[in-house]
Amino acid sequence: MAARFVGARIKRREDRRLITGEGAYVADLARPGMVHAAILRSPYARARIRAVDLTAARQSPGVLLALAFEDLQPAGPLPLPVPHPALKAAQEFPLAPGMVHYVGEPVAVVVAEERYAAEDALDLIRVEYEPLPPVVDPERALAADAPLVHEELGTNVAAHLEQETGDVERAFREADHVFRERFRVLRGSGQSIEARAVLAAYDPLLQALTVWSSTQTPHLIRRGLAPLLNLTEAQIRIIAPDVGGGFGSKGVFYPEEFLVPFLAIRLGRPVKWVEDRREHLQTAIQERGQVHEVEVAVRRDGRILAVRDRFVADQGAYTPWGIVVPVLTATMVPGPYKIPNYRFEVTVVYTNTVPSAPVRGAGRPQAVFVMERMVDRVARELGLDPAEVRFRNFIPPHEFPYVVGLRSRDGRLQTYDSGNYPEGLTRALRLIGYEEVRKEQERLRAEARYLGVGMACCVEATGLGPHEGATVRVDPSGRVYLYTGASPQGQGHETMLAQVCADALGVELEEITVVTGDTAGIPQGTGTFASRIATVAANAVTAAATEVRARALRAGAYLLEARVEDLDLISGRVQVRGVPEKGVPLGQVARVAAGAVPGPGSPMPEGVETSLEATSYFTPAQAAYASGTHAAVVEVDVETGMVKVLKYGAIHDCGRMINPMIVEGQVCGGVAHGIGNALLEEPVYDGSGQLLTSTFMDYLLPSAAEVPEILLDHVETLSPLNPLGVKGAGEGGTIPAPAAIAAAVEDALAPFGVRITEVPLSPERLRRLISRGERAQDGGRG
Amino acid sequence: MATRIPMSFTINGDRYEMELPPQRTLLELLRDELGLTGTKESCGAGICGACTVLVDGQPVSSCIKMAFQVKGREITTIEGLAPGGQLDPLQEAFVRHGAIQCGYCTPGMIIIAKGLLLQNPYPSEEEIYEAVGSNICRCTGYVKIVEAVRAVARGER
Amino acid sequence: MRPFEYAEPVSVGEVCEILGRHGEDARVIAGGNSLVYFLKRRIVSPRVLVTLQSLPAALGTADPMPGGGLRLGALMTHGAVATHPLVRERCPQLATTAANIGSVRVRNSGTIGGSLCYAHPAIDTAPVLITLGAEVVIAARGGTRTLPVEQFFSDAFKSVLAPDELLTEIRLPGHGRPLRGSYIKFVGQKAKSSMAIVGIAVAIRGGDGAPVEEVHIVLGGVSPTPLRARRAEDLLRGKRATPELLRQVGAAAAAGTAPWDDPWASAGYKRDMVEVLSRQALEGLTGLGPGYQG
Repeated sequence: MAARFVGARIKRREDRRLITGEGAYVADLARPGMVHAAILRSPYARARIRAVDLTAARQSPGVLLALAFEDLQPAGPLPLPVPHPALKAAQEFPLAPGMVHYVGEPVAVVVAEERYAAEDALDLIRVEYEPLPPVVDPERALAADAPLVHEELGTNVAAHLEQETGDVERAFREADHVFRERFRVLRGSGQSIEARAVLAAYDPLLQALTVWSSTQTPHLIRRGLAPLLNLTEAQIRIIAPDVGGGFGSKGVFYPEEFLVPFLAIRLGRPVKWVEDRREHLQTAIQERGQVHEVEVAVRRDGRILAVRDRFVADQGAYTPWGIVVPVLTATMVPGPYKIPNYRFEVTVVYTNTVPSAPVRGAGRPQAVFVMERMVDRVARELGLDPAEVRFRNFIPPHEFPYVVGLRSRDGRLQTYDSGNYPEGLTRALRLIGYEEVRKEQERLRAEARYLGVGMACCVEATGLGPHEGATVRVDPSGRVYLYTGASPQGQGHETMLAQVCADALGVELEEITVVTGDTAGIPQGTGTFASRIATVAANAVTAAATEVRARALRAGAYLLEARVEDLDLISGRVQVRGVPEKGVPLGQVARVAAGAVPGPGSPMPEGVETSLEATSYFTPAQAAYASGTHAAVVEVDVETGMVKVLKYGAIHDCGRMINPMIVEGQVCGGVAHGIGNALLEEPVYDGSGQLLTSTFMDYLLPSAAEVPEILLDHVETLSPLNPLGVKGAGEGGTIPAPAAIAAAVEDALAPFGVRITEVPLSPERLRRLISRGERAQDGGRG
Repeated sequence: MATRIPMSFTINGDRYEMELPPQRTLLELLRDELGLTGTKESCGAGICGACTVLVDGQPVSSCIKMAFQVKGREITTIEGLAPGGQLDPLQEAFVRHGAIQCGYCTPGMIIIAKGLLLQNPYPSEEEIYEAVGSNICRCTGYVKIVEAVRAVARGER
Repeated sequence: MRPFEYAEPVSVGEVCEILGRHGEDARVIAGGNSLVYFLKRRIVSPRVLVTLQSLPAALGTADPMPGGGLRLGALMTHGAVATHPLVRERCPQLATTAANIGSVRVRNSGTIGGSLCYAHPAIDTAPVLITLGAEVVIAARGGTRTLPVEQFFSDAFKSVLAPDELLTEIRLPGHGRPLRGSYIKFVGQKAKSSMAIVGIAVAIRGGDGAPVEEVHIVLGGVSPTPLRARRAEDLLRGKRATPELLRQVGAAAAAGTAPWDDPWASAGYKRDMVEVLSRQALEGLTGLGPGYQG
């Protein structure tokens, strides 16, 4: 089957509704009789709740219901989708039962006829708190005298993990050089432009609950919700309509995912809750916070013999995604390099801050930051070009599949399926004109202007399991319906999956309707995260469409009185190969399969299966490893500490690109997020656990002014693990960016001896490092 | 206390006479009273630009504008950009250049770009960046949005 | 947003009368850029909201004054200030400053008078106005008074306006030989449309190869109200600028500040930036350097 659509820059079918204002996000939906919920949140990072008095709130005009934890029975803890044997889990309750553990944790909920009325009533709730000292800093949380986030656990350590491959001790003994460094990566968050929202309606007659949620994972929400509400999964339908970005922050079962449906059932009226930005900044999961102590053992030629990494990972107050993030970090540190000996030790700690769960990149930006910064260190110490050190350490292209020697997140032996890392770096350097930039740097330094160039490489486990599915059905009208659990937040799934379906089935794009984000569409689904959809869902679509095509040919054979082997399905017609005028449209074939021909009472024609429909689930045995190489050119104003990104080149390898325009968009957007992580984004907590960055005035997101034109190129090493040969593209833009920019800044400031060991790099932090460098130089001269 | 006050507006070419509580913001008027949900709320503080509409041709944050402040004025929202289904060149360019991902910032982005081109049909590169740079998009990295606006400003249809 | 009573007066006198009647319970809304957010968040909940949108048109225009001066109606939007030919001709640094306030959305709504009355410590226009010796005209029930902009602010987010007073006009004096000035809005890594971290307004007479006859340095963002760097001015006045002298002037400007920590900039960093940027501003005006290149 020739690919007509896969690989083409097809305009997105989603866009028409989005550019005309017809997109329907949860906040845009209304139901008859709908009422509004508002949530009272903890003003303390750690406090005991002595009493909650809802009396005045309940009497406030327009208020229908005001509830605290005691009123919620049953109100078990929120689900933990990813348990881990090493994890001492702490799970959040929908409303805090007696203790609050972070600022913003829900304490009570009010439902009123109007949103303002519900908000007015929140002011009337009297909560008696006993504030307790919180622990905000993850390293501080390990001190013997640190307050315990969860007293019942008896420790702030959520998990401790170690793993080793090779003989690390010996490698360090035999190395020519050993370098040590300490790195800090601060937190960041997703900050989709649409905040979260949930709308729920319960039909008591049908005993059926419908929930519209701005979630990345409708099927996981259904799975978590059913036992909490004592309903069967069959009674619950979750719909994720248009969703305005996710980036991980909508991949979590939040308290409101339970509260809003619970309230709708309780009241017998549709209930809507729309989060405001302040709530989102305060309560949406964050990520990245880690402190690494890392050592590398190096041969004098720059070959890295061993890496030893000990790190502390900030888990925040709860474990909504278990310890996925630190595990991903730990296993991705070796990255694209052939490092025979590696040992990690990670301690995951609770703090009184918003829970940590994957945000675009999911632990890997930290891994890349640590490893790439060490590679740059090796280059500097040995007087080698940083690119050269990378070339000397890359896994050679002929060594795939490459066994890293670690157990990865899914418990399997971590094996890279394909890649060509040297090619990636070569192209990245070419994109930014590495040699010329070096000359320019030299020239500008004479004018006391500081240009720097940095590079970073990453490998990324994408396309994780357990499964994603697709149902392909041909309607007797001839229209093709494609249902999938792969629920999008702007990634263009509708277009991309239609392309795959059209090729596999043999129809035109316009003949396909793609239905995503609805649990009624397909029995099982996993959701959109971990750059998994192009790999897992698209291959499911291929399988389902291929099966439907086979069925269509068999039914067509009956209609055309031809042999199946002589038939083809092209542009929505089953026809005799080479004799296109001898053919029938797909709709007619669907009628045969539906039993409409010859008709009720007749037996099904021989060899024709009932219904032109197939459901297929793709269950990847392991991750497909995408990779990326970024190169950045920056200029630093040494008087203000301001960094300007002048040039940015990004090479990405996601295997076969189904729609290059969509892939480019994913990479560019990812880079912008990575630039945010490198230079801007930081949720700042004070010592008492109060979030100081609770508006977009304080939590700084990249704007068009901070994002340079991004030069893109691709390396395509097809994945052997799936028929389409694809790997994920959603996060690769973000992962290497902080490391690349840090490297460029360090390079720019080499005359000052500045070392970058922490991101984000605020101008103030940089200015401090530069002054220290200036003083050291003055001291050296004096 | 006047609980409702009379107001009239022209919205996307249609004239509205209505009585509203003075507490309504322009965004609430559009979304809740008139069902024009194409205009979005994101930061609620006038920073991100998701709620951008044109008032007498000039971009304004509707989330921090009271409805009474725009009495008698002409308001254009994303719904008013394609009268009769004929897309504005900006809308077409956004699609063609891949400038849309989740779509939530898109109405505000298109409207702010429209405001720019109405004031200044031949904006400089800097002016394009200034306009796009005043709104926040989290998905696209802006590259394709700038491309789309530039294309329209340079006469691409 | 809590319920409020709505008033839409058509004259300044009527505004002052309503304000006088309700005292602290009333709030005035001009562009509403800051106020509407505070109303929504219930940070401010007035009993009466007085909109200025139906006041006479003169409150929104700029007119020449004898001797090369200029009057600006308090309801001129930042966008109008930025583009008005008279402002651009007679006070180019004010036009440029207004053009860099917020985003285009902010400039289309926000007014020069409204932002002065909001009295944010990092307000952009006030330092420039002070370097130019501008005055404000304030109306009350009993008549009007005139006050230098420098004396208009009493604390962070507070002005000297009495409850029944309304700021109606800003007056820029004419100058025999105009002051040459600039304003540096330093936002650090924040978006260009953000409030300044520090703002530095400088205006000088002379200084182009000759001694500096007159110098005004006013800082925003580093004290509760716009701060005049008097010691720095004294150092420079009457002298010929040299790189070393401007370094000292910058240091003196920074030494007089009393900034505070923000999530994105500590007090120390703000002070450092005052030192660096006021030096750069003066270098630019005296031909000793390129000026601020942000």
